[in-house]
Amino acid sequence: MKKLLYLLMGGHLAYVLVVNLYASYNLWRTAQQPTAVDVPLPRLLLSPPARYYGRLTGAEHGYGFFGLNVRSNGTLLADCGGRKLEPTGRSFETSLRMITLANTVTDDWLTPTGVAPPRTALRADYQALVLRNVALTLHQQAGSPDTALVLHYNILSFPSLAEVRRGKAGVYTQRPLLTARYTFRRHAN
Amino acid sequence: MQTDVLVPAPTQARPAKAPVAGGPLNAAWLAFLRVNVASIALLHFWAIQPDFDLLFSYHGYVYPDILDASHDRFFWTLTSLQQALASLRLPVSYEGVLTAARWAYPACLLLLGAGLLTRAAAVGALLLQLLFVQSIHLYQYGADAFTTIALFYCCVLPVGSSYSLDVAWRGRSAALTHQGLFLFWLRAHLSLAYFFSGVDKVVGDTWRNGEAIWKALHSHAYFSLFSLDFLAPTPFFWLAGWATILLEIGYPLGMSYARSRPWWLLGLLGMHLFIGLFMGLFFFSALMIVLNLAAYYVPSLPPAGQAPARASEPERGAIYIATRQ
Repeated sequence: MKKLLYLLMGGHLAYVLVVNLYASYNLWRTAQQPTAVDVPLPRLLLSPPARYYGRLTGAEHGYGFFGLNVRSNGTLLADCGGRKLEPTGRSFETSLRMITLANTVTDDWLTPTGVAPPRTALRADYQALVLRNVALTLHQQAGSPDTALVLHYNILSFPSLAEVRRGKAGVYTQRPLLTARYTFRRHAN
Repeated sequence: MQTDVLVPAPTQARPAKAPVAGGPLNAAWLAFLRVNVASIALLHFWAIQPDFDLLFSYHGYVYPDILDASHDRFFWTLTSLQQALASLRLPVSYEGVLTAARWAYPACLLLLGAGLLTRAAAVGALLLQLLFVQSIHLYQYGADAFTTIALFYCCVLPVGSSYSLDVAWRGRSAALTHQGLFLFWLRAHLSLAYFFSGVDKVVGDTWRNGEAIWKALHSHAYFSLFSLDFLAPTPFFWLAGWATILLEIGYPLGMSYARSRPWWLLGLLGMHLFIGLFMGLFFFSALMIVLNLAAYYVPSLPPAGQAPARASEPERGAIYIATRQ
């Protein structure tokens, strides 16, 4: 029993160690050269049994929260018939998750200057589909007779610490990153 | 600061020696872990109830089948589970699966917290937590990952061995033969997590000059108890950035040595309180505080109803956990 426990414990910790070694190494490479391609995990850890194990135990996660840098957050905002709409929830927890969703589908647009976004056509189509779904739900929630809706993703900008120290006023501004225009038609059943 | 045994052997369970922490352990750390992980996961689930439909239903911002389309299939989503059940000719709708999971998850967490059918409840809670999180994987953030990890430890560790209804039911507690090994496992995992989190931060310039913390505090919608902008002219953000890096990279060493452990633990608790109070990541912070206390503080407490043995003269007044190991 004890040997089995040692084996499980050792294997689990080794999994966590290798996943994080690779994640940190890839992050370091990105810091040195933004165009660097990530080194994939060893084949053993990419095998289906290892993937299932990592998923079920949480061992698949790297721990680089807020590393290398803190990502700029943004907001999804819509305009329909002159009304401002924002996909948010009634709880703070949901608003955190909405920020995560907006970040996930716009990550590819936030690359360093001169670095091509790592988008494939399929991935770009999927991200566009997700945004269209958000727009449709907002349109339905608004109950507006207007069939047109404009969805914006704005990066929320605040002066850096160095800028504030130099005397710049600490005021939030929004920098438009994406704008999508939709027209919705009602289909007869 | 080195002492002999300060804590009498627990009456309910065999004292164990941890590979890292040399002395006998208070078995209550397992119950502490179980009750608090279940409570935090329950509150976390409760927090999304007002918007449950917006996240999981076909009235939500992203429809379940669209979310499912980009899932990697290394676990079920609510959609793929419903499809799997339908392929077995079980007439279950998506809403039916969603409703069943919505009731089953808190039920498993309540059983886990109470320590009734503990192992089965922990496995059920882990599978259902994964089911929910994988179903909205585009909305997933750090607290979800650590909840999975914490529930996994509730599955493999004997967390129902004390202060549980299982024990009351059986009338005796189970023997804890590998308690030290289990504690070492949890501590080693936490050490790896903090160490790599620190390494990933020190690579970037912004954690070393204070800009990262400044930026995190000014990110959209993050709750803050009060504005810390008045500290901009001071070295506060620079110090906070370096303190975070040092606490995290130094975690494996700082938490291993008896002299540094109480101060390291206080530093970490302060860091997580700061994250909770000034960045609004309440559940992530609470979970990390619980994991740290379970791994490094509760095991060194004297068992309930027993005062610690008198310490020798030079040790009086010292923080209790500093006298262990």
